Amino acid sequence: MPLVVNVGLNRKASRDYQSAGVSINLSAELDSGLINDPARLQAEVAKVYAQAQAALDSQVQAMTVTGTIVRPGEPGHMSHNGTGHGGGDLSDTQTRSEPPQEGVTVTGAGASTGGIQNSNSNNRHRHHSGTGVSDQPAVRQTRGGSYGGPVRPATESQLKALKSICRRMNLQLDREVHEEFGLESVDQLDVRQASALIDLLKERQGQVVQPRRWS
Amino acid sequence: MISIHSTTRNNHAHRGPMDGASVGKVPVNPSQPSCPSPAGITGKSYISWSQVSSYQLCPKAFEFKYVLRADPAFVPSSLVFGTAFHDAVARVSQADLEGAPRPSAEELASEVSQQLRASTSVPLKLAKGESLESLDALASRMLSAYLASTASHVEGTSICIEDVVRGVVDASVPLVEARVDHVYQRQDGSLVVRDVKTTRTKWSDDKVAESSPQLQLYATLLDRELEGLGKVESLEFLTVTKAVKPVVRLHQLSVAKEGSQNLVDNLQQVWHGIESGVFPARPGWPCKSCAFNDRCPAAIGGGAA
Repeated sequence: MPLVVNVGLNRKASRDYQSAGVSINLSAELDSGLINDPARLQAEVAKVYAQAQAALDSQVQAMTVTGTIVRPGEPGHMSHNGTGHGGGDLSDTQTRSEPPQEGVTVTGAGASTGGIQNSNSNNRHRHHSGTGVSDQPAVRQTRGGSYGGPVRPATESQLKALKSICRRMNLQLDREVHEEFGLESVDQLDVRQASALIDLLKERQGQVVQPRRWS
Repeated sequence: MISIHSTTRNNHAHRGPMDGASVGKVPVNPSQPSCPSPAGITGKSYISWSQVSSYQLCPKAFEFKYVLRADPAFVPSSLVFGTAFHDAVARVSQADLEGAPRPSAEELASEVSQQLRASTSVPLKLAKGESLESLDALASRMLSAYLASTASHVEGTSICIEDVVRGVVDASVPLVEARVDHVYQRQDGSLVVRDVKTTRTKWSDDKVAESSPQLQLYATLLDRELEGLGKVESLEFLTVTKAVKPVVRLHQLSVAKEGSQNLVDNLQQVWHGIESGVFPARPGWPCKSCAFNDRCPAAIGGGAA
C-alpha cells in the first residue's frame, strides 16, 4: 500500500490595511517501505516540502515584482482586501505558518486519517487533500479574483453548506479550516478541500459519507 | 481563465432583458488576447448558452432581446414557473449537501406560488386554460413527484448547485457563460453534470440528443474549471413532466469525444451571425410565446402590422 504525504505551506502579509496571502498544498505518493525507515521517510518529506517551498517562492516572486499587484489571470495573481492604499510586500513580512516537519500527515492510500502525524502543540494542523493522490502542486490564491492554480476555490454552494453545517454544529468555520488545512480563512479553501471538509463534518455528525477517489 | 460562482436564477423579464445583476461579479480575465468580445453588440463581454439557443431559435428575437434590449411585452408563465421550480430543486440539493432535512413539497410549492405572484413590471402571460391556482397545484404535484423520486438523490457529493461558469471554449468565440444546475462527484472521482427540465411531455431519445449540446458545452467548461478535482464523464437531464401525474425521469448521456469540435463549430456560426449583424426572423411555433411578437413584422399569429 503506498504512502501519501500531504504538505501545505502558506504566507500571508498585511500592510496599509491590505492583506495578501498565497498557499500551496502538495500531495505525493511515496514508497510504502519508507514507513520502516524513518530517516529516509523524513528525507523524502523534506524533499516534498522543498518543492512546495520553491513553488511558493515562485508565486511570491511573481507578486512582488510588480509591487504585489499582479493582473488577474496571470500566474501569481491574487486578490487584495482594502481599497488599494499602498502595496503589501510578502517578502517583507512573510510568515510561514508551517515550517518543514510540522503539520505533516502521512497516510496509507484510501485511509482518511491515521499514520504518522507530527504536530506542534501550538499549531496543530491536520491536512486533508482527499483520500487519494495528486502529483500536481495546487498553488492557489485567495478568493475574490481570477486565479491561476489548477485547483479552483470552493464554490458558493460548498461555502454555503459549510457555513450551514458549522452553524448547526456550533462550530467556528475558520477554526475548522485552520485546523484541517492550516489556512487562515475559509476564503482560501479550494474546491477539493471544501468537499473534503463537508464530508468530514458530516461524518462527525454521524452521517454516512462514501469515500471518494480523487483524480 | 474560467471563473465560477453561485447565483440565484431570476426571471429575465422581471429584471429587464439585459440586467446582469443576477450574475453578480464574475471575474473575467482581461488578459485573454485573442478572445473576441460581444460587448459592443450586447453590452456583455460574454455569450451565454441562453443567447446561443435564442439566436438559433430566432435571430430576430435575439436581436430584440439582446441587441436592441427591447422591453418584453410579457413574461410567459412557463418561464417564471420553470425558474421557480429550479430554485425549489436547488434547495433540495443544497439541503442534501448540508446533510439537513429536505424541505417538504408544501414548503417548496409555497415558494413557487410566491414567485408566480411576485410583483413585476412585466405582465405574466398565462397559457390557455391556465390560472395561478392551477399552477400552484401543478407545482405541488411536480415537487411531490420529484421528492419521491430516487433520481432526486444523487450518487455522490455535490460540488456546484446553480452556479455560473464562464470560460473560453475556443479563442475564435467570446467567453461563454453557463448556468449549471448541478454538478456532483461520484465515488470514483468522476464528475456528473445534471440539468433539470420541466417539460410538457416525456422526452424522447431524439429530444435528449437534440438538447445534448448544452450539457456538452457545460462539460467542456467544467473540465477546465474543476481541473484537479475530476473529469466530467457523465451528463444527465432530469425531466419532470407538467402533467396530472408528473413523471420524473433521468436521461443519461456520455461526454462525446468528438463533440467538442461540433460545439465549437456551432458557437462559431452563431457568433459569426451576431457579429455580422445577421438577424433574420424565423417565423414558426415560437412566435406564439415570443415576448416581442407585437413588434415583429414576421411574427405568426399577432405580429406587428
